[in-house]
Amino acid sequence: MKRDQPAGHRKRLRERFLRTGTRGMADHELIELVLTLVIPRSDVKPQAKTLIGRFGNLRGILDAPFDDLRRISGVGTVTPVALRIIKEVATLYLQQSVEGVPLSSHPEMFHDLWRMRIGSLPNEVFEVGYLDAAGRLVRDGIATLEEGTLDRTAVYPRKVIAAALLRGAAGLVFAHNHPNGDRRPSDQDKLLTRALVLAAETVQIRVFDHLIVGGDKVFSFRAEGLL
Amino acid sequence: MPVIRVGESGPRELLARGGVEALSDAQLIALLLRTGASGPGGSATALGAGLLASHGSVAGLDRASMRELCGTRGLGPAKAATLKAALELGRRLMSGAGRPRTRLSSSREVADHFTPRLFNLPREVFVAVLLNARNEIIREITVAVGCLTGSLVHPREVFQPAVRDSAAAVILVHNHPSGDPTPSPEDVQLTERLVEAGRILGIRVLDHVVVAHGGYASLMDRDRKDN
Repeated sequence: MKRDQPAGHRKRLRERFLRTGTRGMADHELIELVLTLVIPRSDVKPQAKTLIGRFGNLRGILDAPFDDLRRISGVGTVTPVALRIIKEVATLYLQQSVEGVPLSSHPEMFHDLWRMRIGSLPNEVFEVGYLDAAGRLVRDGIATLEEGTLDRTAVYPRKVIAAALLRGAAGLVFAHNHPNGDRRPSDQDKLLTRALVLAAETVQIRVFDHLIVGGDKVFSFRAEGLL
Repeated sequence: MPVIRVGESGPRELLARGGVEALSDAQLIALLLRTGASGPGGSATALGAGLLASHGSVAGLDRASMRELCGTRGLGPAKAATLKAALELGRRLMSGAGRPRTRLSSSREVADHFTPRLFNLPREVFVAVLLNARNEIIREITVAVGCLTGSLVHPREVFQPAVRDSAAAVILVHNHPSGDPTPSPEDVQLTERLVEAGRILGIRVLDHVVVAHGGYASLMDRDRKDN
């Protein structure tokens, strides 16, 4: 049997994608699809398979550190950028979907958003979402307040509240990640949350929740009755 | 044109010895213009004295037009422009950042500053005064107007501008249209709330003064404690 020319193979792959979407396509085929946009002409199936082999699945590839991706042979310098763009655009899509949604009625949307934003980071990051009085995320309302080392982030209530005042926020939601994958709050996390709630109360800003992302699990202070 | 040098006891030497404050108006003008009219008795200081005589004073000189200035012997368009520029600098200094700011270091000073404006108003008005580290007024903000029950004054509205303008401290002032400055229980409660918020944000609430027809009252009793 005559072997497929890459051009014909690419065309069929795209047609299949347009017909069925991501359903019925393996992760390596989806990655291949992305690689065809970045790498001209040649057969990109080997790189797609290498990426899956190295990072496990689609999510692992999108979460992979930039430099790790660049070291995969045949991937080139543009592919890591393209993958980064896909991840960031998807995250922004999620964030814009959450904007205007009350946290109390759709907490899972907020959980998804922060899982995507910080769940795979190698270091601890503390983020804040600025909410209106009804607990809805305001436009462009997420800020990274602190980036820490592996397991420690310094968060100062004074800075947090000052930033909230400058944004004119009436409500806040906090989120940070545990790079070790354990979403359970430490004693330090509980103390910090208490301090933040008290500080916010003095200027009548309401803390709606504090989320801890550990791997792909989310711990919610509100859901656990710890607020 | 012969240049008439400022002699040994001229304004430049005087300035070096006694500072710029030691110079007369005519000598200051001489320093700016550097040379007088040609011929005997045409020193720069004589030119300065002549200008002051014909225009009455420094203020008169400031009011004179370029054409009027240029009519003087020994003063061409270049010197007239120098004079105009110096006077403009002085004016900008007076109207700009160099102007001394009002300092409020006691409850009495706060009352003296605000009573004329507030005591006769038919409704309660709540003002937050933002201060720098030297207790000088940066800005005044009317936080609320109406029948105050304390709940109308939102801590956010006091501290958002304070954070934005990097205020070191705030002083609160409101009036009692009844004429009796005695603080109400709500006034006391509100003060406690705002002091606590200030503590969190690192912005001291120095005083809360009620002004009225019948005098003033401080909720912090600063007159007795600080003075």
